[in-house]
Amino acid sequence: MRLPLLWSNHRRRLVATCCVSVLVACGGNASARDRILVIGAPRESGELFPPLLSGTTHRAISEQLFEKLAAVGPALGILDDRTFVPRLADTWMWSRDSLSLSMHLNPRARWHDGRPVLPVDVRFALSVYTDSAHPSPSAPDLRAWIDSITTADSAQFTVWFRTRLPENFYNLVSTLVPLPSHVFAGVPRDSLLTSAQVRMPVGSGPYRLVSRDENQRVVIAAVDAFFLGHAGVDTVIWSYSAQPRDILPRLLTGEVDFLESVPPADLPAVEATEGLRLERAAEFDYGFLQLNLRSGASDAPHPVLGNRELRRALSRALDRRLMLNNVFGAFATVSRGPFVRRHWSADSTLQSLSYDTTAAARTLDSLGWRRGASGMRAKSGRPLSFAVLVPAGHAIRKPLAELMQEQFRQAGVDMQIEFLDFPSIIARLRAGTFDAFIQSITAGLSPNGVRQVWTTSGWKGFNFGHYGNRRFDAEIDSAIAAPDGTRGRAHYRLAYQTILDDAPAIWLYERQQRAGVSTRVVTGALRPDAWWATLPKWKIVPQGNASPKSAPRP
Amino acid sequence: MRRFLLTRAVHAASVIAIVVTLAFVMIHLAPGDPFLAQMPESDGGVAAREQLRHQWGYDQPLPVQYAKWIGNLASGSLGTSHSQGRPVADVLRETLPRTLLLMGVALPFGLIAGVVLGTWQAARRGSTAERASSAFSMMLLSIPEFLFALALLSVFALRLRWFPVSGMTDDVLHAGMSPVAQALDVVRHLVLPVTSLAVLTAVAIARYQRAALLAVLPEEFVAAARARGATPLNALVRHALRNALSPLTAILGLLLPSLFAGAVFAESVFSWPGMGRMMVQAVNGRDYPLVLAGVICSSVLVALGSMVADLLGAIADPRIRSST
Repeated sequence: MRLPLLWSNHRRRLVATCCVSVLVACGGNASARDRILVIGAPRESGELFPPLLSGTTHRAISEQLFEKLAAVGPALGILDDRTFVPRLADTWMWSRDSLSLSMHLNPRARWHDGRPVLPVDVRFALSVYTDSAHPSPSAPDLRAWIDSITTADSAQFTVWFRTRLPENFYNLVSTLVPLPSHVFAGVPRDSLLTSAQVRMPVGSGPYRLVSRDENQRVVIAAVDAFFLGHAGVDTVIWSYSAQPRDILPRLLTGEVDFLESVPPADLPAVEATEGLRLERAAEFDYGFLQLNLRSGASDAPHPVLGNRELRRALSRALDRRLMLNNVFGAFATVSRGPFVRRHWSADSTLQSLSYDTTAAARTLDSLGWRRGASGMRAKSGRPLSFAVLVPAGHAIRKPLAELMQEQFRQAGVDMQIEFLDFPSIIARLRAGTFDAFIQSITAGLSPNGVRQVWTTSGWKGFNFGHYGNRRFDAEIDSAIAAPDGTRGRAHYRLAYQTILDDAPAIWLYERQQRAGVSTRVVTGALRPDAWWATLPKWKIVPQGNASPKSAPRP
Repeated sequence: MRRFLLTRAVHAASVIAIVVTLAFVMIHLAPGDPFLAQMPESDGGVAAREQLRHQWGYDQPLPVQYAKWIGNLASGSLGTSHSQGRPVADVLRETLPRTLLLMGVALPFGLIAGVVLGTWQAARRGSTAERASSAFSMMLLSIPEFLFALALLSVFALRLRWFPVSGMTDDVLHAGMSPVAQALDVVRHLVLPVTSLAVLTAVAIARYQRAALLAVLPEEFVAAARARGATPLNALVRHALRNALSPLTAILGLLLPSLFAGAVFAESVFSWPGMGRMMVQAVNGRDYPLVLAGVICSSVLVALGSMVADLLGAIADPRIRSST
């Protein structure tokens, strides 16, 4: 039984070709693209409103919408306010006792609705950030740092600090973003953070919010009369993808112009693609294998990892440089401790535990962990074993864990890998029911985040491994409170050496991330702590004049 | 018929109630909470998270939370999405039509292609071409959905660059397009996700259709039709195919859940901003109200599909009606 041909082959081919041609042809309009920059990003939860910020993508967008009082200068110094760049505030002056700071607002600074930025907006911002009815993550810090803000006239205000800290200026301008008090005038305080004004905020930055679709994209457009000059790109679109890994194909096909961090395995693909180049980006991430020093949720020491000498031996058993070469290629260096090399507190003379399998074996033997017939170590019938939590499918932590597992196996240590989704891992960390976890931290410009992760004050927070050493705590407190950078650095050095000796973690890597950028985009140098900081200065060159891959960028 | 419909509706409502209750319990028992991803890793973040948990009542016992949620549901409120900061109804209003568009285009394409392919395979049974196409269909059926979608993406978007990699509209150009061009833009973005769904639907239907036709073709009424002078095509299409279509109505009901599951994969792979992708993100972010609303929608969809299939079956075969 044979079916007749309803269409001739010729006609079918013609129709199919026409359909595909029409659809394929819909893709191009070069002139419109010359004014618009598309940034690929994974979708994030939450708001763009400064007091509620958490994720990197929302922070990048929000900082285009809301201008700060002052910005960190190109040298990334945070201790000397003279290195900061004036933004909303054009001048400032410290009191003699360094406990109050008078700032003067630029009279040309305007909100996107045309109203001037006033001192009452700064005071209003502090009240929103620190209002106990509103769960702003910055609230505890601001309450601890700032006593009050008083206004003198229509341009001048004074910030009263609780204590003298070398980072007071940085803390103020990096955390407290002025908010438009007039926009929220009629909004009840208890519903302020769920109001429409928060969803579509009126800002003071170089860009204004045009549209927002949580599932597709956020569009921002340059403010014509921005008081510090018109931004270089008219429109910027943050185009969301379901997963970070979905963005790379979009970069390779030219659908997006910028990807902030290309996964190490995909760097060659980006390098080989016409019309794309790699640029130095974030360099403030460090990763480590966090060890749980306690046994489950109890206060008792962990039966294996509670021993300091054993932890030091584990550190020595790993050839971290080899692991990093495998996972990151040339784009990571072995971490020196709970800081990054770019921190002002970093010290290259610290004594760290180097790779030495002989010393590791000697220590393990001396502790009674002897090799059995299988080559694996045990003590009194208990195998030398622990499990590492790894986010399922993680492009970096999974291969790192597998390489560690093999190196530990050679040292006679049985390391198991447990793959879990991220919320489950956090729940296990909080409950204390874990042995070890590969953790990555974005450090920021200030080293004082180390207090939350490694001191005893972080036991109820992010010191999941319950590391505790009074000397370390004291040195960190002294470092943060030191009146100047020199004395602060000395305290940090002692604290770092203490924690390196105690080895509550195996310090793994410091990443040097690479952004994938279309050659039609001129970015200038990307700031290693915040690539978006220079976004208003970016430019798009017409397709024919795109910069070559290797050309130096201004 | 009225009694038949009523029975099916009650059955569907109880299935939805059970599914939603199970979903409520499971998502609340899963580790984590909706504010984990929203708050940074700092002392302030932890405090803010605890405050939010209290404000939203997630520190209360599960039965209390369930009672409150049911109460809100009864008053027509699906709650507020924590991850999107707006009413769940708004999120659904935005994402559900996108998923229905994907499924609504893929289903007829898959259905027609499947029936045609199955009929052709039955008609050409034993030939080399039929054997090759059957083997190819089996191969496609055994490929996981996401892998097939990734293969399409790799060939037609990454290599040939005929179609966009992801999304529903062009980020840059869509807003400035004419209505016709905007529609074509959506069609262009639809091609790959729809193809991934439709092809797998088609090969599944083709297997059923081929088997049903092979069972019908030896029947006496087909031979009788040929004896009365019907052409082979006429006998196949007007006599055999018509009788072989009725099992398909039952399969259609079963097809909707698998099509919805396929849409979840397709939306994730192609970043189609529909309900499937939204559900995956909501589950990962423990956005309880959004997850539960998604479960309600998908179970209603499945129950409706099942009811329609039953109805069609009852219309086609009165014995089913009378046995209910």
